[in-house]
Amino acid sequence: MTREQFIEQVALSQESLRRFLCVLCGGDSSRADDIAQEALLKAYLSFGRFEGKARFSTWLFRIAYNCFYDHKYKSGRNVTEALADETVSGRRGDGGGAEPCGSAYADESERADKRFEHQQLYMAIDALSEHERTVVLLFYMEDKSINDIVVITGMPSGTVRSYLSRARGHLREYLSSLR
Amino acid sequence: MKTDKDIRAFMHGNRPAASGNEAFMADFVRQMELLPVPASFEKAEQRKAEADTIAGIFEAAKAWNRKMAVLAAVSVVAVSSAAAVLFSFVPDSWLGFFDMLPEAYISPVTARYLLMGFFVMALVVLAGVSCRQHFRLL
Repeated sequence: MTREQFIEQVALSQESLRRFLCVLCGGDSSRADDIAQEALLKAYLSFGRFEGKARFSTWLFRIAYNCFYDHKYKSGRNVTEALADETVSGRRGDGGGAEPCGSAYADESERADKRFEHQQLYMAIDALSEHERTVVLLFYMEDKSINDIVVITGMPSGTVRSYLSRARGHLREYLSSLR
Repeated sequence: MKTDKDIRAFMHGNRPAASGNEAFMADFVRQMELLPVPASFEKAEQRKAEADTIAGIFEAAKAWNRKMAVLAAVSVVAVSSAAAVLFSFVPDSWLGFFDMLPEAYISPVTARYLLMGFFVMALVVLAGVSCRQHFRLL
């Protein structure tokens, strides 16, 4: 595959990839786009490792899913560190770092707006665990097969089926309660 | 009872749309260009360039062969036609030749047609031989 072909393939898959990440990020499309960019650049740099066993889009989803977890882990750590900093500064009595800045409010508000647009979807998957949510989104929203989900998430096939079954039960209940 | 189809329809109906696809791709390509080209792509591009070179040489050889085949066919037609015309206009020569054959008499008209037929056959065979190389390469 040449660089041009790689770009063409990415152009075909990027929309569904970004949508998937956007829902995983709880409607934060700018964060989803950052993760998608990082994932695609990683895919570009490590293209030599693509063996062609899975489809190209599945391979991209796998990298993006790993990036999402890396980000989540890092942001989790950052929040912990920020809280620790706040505690330390609070103890020192300087009062800094307690108020979020204006842009943070704007981001939050934008995110809330986006989330509101697709409220039904977020409400439906809200009660699901992280893994169940991932499996459901890949299976129902992105129309991936069980085998593709196994490749993307790295979970065993039985586990994927089990998550899917539980999530399906929950979604059925939710949809029945709607009407 | 809600089915899989209902769940899928619900998810498809409520999924967010990824906006700004072109801007995203433009940004991605711009960032890609800032990075060094990975070895796997270099190899693929080198292989493609080599394949293009070989295809170019093959095309040139095919064109040369086609030209030569047409030239050979035209030459064969010209030479054969000239020989046939010459033979038809000098009847004494072929009549004398047939008179030399032992105990064989062929009328001048039959002999003329026989010779013309021979020339036509020769023409077809030679034209075929000259075009063979061209068709083999197609």
